Amino acid sequence: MNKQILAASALTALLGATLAIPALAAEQEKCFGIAKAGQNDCKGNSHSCAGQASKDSDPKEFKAVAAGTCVKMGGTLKAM
Amino acid sequence: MLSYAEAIADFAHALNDTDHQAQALSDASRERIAVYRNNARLNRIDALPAAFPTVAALVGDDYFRALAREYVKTTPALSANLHDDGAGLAGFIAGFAPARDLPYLADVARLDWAMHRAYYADDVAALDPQRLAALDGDGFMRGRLRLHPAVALVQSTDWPIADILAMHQGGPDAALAAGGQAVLVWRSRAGVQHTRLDDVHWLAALLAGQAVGDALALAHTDPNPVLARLFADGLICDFEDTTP
Repeated sequence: MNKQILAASALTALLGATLAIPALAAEQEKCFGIAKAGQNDCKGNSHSCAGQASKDSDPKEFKAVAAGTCVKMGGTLKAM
Repeated sequence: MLSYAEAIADFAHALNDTDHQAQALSDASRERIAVYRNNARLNRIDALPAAFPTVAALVGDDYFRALAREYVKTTPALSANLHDDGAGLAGFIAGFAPARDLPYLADVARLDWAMHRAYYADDVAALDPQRLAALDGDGFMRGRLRLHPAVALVQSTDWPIADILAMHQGGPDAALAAGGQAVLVWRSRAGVQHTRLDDVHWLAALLAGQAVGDALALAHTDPNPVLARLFADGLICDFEDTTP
């Protein structure tokens, strides 16, 4: 692409985009306040802060077999 | 007597190493450190599926928890904020022997991480359009654009990561043979956005801080729609004028 034309058109595209901002902001305002679930809240986790996991139940070996949606794609999934 | 810094380091060591007899702890506490260690790890393990929903869906809950447990054991947290945990998971998966049968998993993890970080990236003020309006084409081409930290370009050389993501958002099953794909991730006022991008070299160059003209010269298709989108969403944050 011709560099001069590219430069002018890129700059125009950017400046043109600013005109769209007020409309966009109004349209998206109603989505405000939708928060992704936080993970830093103790109570959100499966146990409380009081130490309900009372023993260190660390398994020593990795034994899990992938069982999710990867099976649908097939091909690379082998039995372990 | 340990200094405060030594005591903290000693305590951290005890959290990561089950055999470490921490001097910082009383005899009674030392017996119960496993409880604290286990809870600290569980908190991190429980937080990871929220940051890596696609990876978790791909391998299933049991596998993901086992994977997360291995990661947490070998990778100390670098921040007290659980939302910061997981930066190294993609790299960990790439070197994780049990995941060798799922060679695309590390690239999917990079995409999940980019979307997670886009959500939590700090706000940065957008560039004042007056700054651009004052430029001519040449000045614009010589300068550099600084983009918002929520903008990320995730490229996979071998795997259709855009199709895999789409599949987990209700799209058709991905075909692994489709080959490598790239995904542009950003944040608008409505939340984290993503789109598949096939012509990526110019944007990668722009993100790497190359001059606008050098970056745009790499474009094979019209870069203006992407530029306009980024600008409209306030993701072009600064222009460095390099005119002498």
